[in-house]
Amino acid sequence: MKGHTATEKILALRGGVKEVFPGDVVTCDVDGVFVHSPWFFLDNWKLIGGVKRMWDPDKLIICLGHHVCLPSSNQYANDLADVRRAVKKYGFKHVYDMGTGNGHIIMLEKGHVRPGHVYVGADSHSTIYGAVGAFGTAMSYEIPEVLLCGKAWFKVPATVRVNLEGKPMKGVTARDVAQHVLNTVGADGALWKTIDFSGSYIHSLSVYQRMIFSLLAVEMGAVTGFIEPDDITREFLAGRTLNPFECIYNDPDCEFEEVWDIDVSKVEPQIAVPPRPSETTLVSAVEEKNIKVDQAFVGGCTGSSIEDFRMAAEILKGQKIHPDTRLLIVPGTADILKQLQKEDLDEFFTDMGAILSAPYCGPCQMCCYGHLGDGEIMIGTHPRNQPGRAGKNSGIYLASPYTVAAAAICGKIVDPRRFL
Amino acid sequence: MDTVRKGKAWVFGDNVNSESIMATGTDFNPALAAQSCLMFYDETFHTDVKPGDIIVAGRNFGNSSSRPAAKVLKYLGVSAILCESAGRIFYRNTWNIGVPVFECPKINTLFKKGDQVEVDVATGKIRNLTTGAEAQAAPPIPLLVERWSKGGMIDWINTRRDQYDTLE
Repeated sequence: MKGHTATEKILALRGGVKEVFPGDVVTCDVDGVFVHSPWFFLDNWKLIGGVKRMWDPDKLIICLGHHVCLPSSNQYANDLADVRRAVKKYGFKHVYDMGTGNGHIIMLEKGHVRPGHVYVGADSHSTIYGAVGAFGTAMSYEIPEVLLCGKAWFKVPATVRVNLEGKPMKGVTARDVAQHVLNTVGADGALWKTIDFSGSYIHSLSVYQRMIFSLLAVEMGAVTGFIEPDDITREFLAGRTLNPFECIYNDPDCEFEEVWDIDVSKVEPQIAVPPRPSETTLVSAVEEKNIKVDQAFVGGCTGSSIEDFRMAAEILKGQKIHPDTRLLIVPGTADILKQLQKEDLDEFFTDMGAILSAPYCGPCQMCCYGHLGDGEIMIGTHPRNQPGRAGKNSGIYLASPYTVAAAAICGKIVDPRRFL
Repeated sequence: MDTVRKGKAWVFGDNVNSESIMATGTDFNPALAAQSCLMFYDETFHTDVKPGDIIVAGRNFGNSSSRPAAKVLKYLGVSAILCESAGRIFYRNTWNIGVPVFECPKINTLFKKGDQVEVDVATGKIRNLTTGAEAQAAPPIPLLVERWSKGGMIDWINTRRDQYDTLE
């Protein structure tokens, strides 16, 4: 008999059954629910009527400062006030308000995610929780029901493995490697599947850089982006979560439906072009097209860690921002902003004319500020560029902090290695 | 219960994303979002779609954001979605919202825009009434069909309120 993947083992454990197989439908106890727009479930609770309470107010994490760092309209401010009243009424315990930042990073930074546990989020990027060895996935419309019963159903996904070996060449970041994976697997190459990221390269990365891979798993259709925990995971979690956990690993004899072996040493700087993140090509190829950039953005849940800002600064040191380009620096969370300040990077960026924002998702979608004019082009470290996220505008490119910073200097998309 | 849906086909290709159905900036209000629904892929859809019409699409329909995009399609009266494959979150959301989604290989090659479609939600049998072509969709996840048959998740919850000690 073959062994089981980590996903199968977690779902069996939290589903209270001996074992599960890909394709089974299993109902699991949920260990945490992430929500950034609580009015969705609160409106549905009103429709259901007679809601006395949530199953466990300690298991809901509300991050109001995810999409906006300040109310973006009178309506939004009123909606937030409604939520705060509901928080008091139902006794929700974990609420992160304006200025706290991107909810997915908060979930991990504040120790709300433990390896071996099951998390659902009302946001497609909830695949990110796999970065510390949890089963994390998105549900959205069904969240109001999960909050009433504490359980969620899953079709057990088959697992595909992306094995990353080798050392990257100079100027190639985790984002470049992740974009290369997207290009290899494709927009639906892992539909309804777990992607298991493995290999010496992924285990050499910090948890923040691993988050890029787990989060972008959804752009390949995946249910979750799992990374087996290691010493780096345990070090990250130490002091963040006081709750006990047991790490769950793939059985050595488990079956992966497909395996992609990727030699990281051969990857060159990558860029996603419209209309979707998996439409990825070489930055050097896009450079030839002479694409002018109106807005360069370092931030979003795949590019707002302190490491991302250090990379941007490495490129920008001694340079000037192009007069036709605005550069936005949006730290992911308040903790990351504090670290920016500690390293004097806040001063560095603002001195050179960049716009330093309070923490949130930034203009990944145009929810707060940083909107594009008609026909304007943006390059960013954020995860998405699909049509419908930025009004009529769809001229959005996704790349590493190096490439975004280089575009801010040149006013167009260029291979960033000339600045390193 | 009548499980047969009939309508005019609106044909789309691969990787149509959820934000193009329910755009950011519309406050996720179905009436407002309907004014730009799918315009990136077919500029006539949001003005010409009629109640009962059926979307026939390629791979990965509704991928990307987890927003409840099907609320816009329901508002416009779309009675079913047939596609080669659907984005996972969209698939779950859409059945729960009360619009059936069927997956069937190469289904969008069997239809031209404007052909008459018939689908039986109970059996997954698909027919092109204009050309006579037929296809059989993969069986959907039974618990989703059950929720749909009650009118969607909210109504389904209300048929089993005694299962929740959190409800009055």
